[in-house]
Amino acid sequence: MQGVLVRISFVGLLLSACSSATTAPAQIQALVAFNSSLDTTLLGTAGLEVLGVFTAPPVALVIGTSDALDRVGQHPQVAYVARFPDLSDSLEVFVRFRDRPTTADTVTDVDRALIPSLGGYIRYVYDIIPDVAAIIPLSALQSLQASPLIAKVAPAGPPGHIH
Amino acid sequence: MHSASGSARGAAAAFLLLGAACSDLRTGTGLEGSPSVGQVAQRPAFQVFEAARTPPGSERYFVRFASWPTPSDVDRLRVRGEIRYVYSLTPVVAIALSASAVAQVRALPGVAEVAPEGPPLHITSGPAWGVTRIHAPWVWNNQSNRGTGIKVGIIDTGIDSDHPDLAVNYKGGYDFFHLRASPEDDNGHGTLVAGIIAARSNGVVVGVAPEAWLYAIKACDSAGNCQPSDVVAGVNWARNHGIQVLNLSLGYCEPHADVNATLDSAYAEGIVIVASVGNGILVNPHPCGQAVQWPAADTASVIAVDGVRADDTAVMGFSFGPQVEVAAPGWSIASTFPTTLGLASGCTDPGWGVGYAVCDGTSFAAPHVTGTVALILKSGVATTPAQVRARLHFNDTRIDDHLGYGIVDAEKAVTLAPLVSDVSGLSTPVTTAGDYGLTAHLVQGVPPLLVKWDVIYSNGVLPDVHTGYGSATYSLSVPSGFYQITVTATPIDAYGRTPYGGNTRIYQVCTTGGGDLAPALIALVPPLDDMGPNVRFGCTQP
Repeated sequence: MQGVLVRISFVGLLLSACSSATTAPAQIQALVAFNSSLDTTLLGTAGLEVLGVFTAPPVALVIGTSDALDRVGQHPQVAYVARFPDLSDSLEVFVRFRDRPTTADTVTDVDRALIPSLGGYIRYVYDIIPDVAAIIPLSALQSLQASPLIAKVAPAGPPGHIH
Repeated sequence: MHSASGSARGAAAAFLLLGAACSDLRTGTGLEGSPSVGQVAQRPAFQVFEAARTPPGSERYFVRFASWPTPSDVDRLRVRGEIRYVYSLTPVVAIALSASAVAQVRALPGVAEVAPEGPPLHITSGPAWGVTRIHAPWVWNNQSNRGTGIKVGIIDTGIDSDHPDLAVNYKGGYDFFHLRASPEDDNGHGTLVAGIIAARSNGVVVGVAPEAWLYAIKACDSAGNCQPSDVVAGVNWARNHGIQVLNLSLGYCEPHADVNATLDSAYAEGIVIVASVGNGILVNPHPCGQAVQWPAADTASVIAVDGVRADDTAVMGFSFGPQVEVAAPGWSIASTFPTTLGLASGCTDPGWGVGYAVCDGTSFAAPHVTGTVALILKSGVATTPAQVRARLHFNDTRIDDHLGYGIVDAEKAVTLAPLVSDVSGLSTPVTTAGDYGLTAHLVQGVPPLLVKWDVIYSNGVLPDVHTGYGSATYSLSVPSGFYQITVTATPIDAYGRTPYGGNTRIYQVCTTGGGDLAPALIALVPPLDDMGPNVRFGCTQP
């Protein structure tokens, strides 16, 4: 996943350097949610690069052009496409630890140490749901998901807005 | 927020004067009189005649009696006009009378005065029309209920805690954007929402529940963006601080599983949650289109509110869909605005000095419902979120995907919503013939009411209509056979009318005459038109 981080940085630099040019279509990060199972081939065919995948619910974090996202959004397998307002090399996620299946359980020190060890940080430890909210570098996303301490990682998604 | 037409200062002042005048009349302070010395004053029960109308050629009057009116006094009035209210705070009856009847009523024994009711309190235009439209003043004036002390959490951009109309009711909160305990509003949106819910009646505007306690849960930044993790944190904070009703005038295009799970948990713990459905295509071209946004679309736990104009019509550009539960004023709404901020984009200055704005959006419809929920909770007629929701759609009939169960009405919510919440005593399918005692359960807090039972059999048995005067039970006869029984229990008022919706249960009967089938061998088989050779009337047979 280190390559992903490098790529995003490159995209950011490219956008900065070419902000006055109008030829390169803007790159957008987005979550693509599938109705049943993930289909990364579909995403690749549409011209989107997959930055991360989540299984429950089946969601992919991708980067690509607005047109590509529009095309994917119209596919019957796709439930929705949620675009982030900005490019980022980190992602906010909801994390559930295996040691804390319910709110009656506590987040252990070992659990707490995991996310900083991956370069991220915990924003909230909730007691209304057994999750924590954390910011994690994209480069560490796979490591987080692969950790034996982890029961679930789900992307928080783009912000909402007042009506 | 969206631009709105402004309103003139003069019109506002006129409205307020009229409102005050009507308020005095409604509470009786303009007509109140003491019973004569030596008379025995028997305060009547407060009665509302919801179906009363004002016939052509009639006008509304207040009839003040010298002492508390007796049932005979009321009966004498009833034959001369359409009674709307018999008050219990003052010896006054509100009634529609023809010109000729006015003279007759003046001559009745015990009548001290007959005075025109005056300009209607229910105006359909003006800057503060929303609070009046949903009949919140009726609750203040007739039940002395202003939502005092009900803890309302507003997940939004913060609240201007120093605003003169909000300072008294502001009780605290948290800023999850800056991680500090001073959730001041740096956008204006949250202060607008707060004023609609609980602006104190010491300024230009007044909220639906003007003595409810306000808690600012700032989960949205100065640009109005609301990070899901901050919203979850806000709900968590609300749960931990005893918040009773939450307002979320915000939304996401896509469902957030953790936000929904959090709201579901809060709801299960007894917090009433109100959310706006979204402004659809009215503000900016939005990826959501006109679909109901989340979390409003989380209908299991959230009351989804759409907006209407002052003429009761839906704002067609707003979001809409089957998730809409109720509607409320959401167009040209005046409320409080931070005194230190410039006017919000898209809003207009009503010209009342610093600290007020007139704006459009479903954001401002939701707080009308939230304030109403505070009044309901304060009244004690409902305690659980489910009971509160039943009170909000008292008519029990969905109108459409814009209005849901209709425009919220605080007066009806606290007084006239004796819904049958459930019918118990029998479950479907019915596998044994016999007589079953059914019970109609009224919404908690509603005194025992008469219930009309309508029973329709699909097997040719004649329908039965039974009015359970003094009882909410019914003995249902279930003959053997394969058929359906449709039972509707409807509350009725003291005059035999049924202005409220009923509760319908459909029972599938699957019995044989000689020997009833074992329940294990019987199953419902929907749809009925797909019946196979061994299926009759929705029942399978071995």
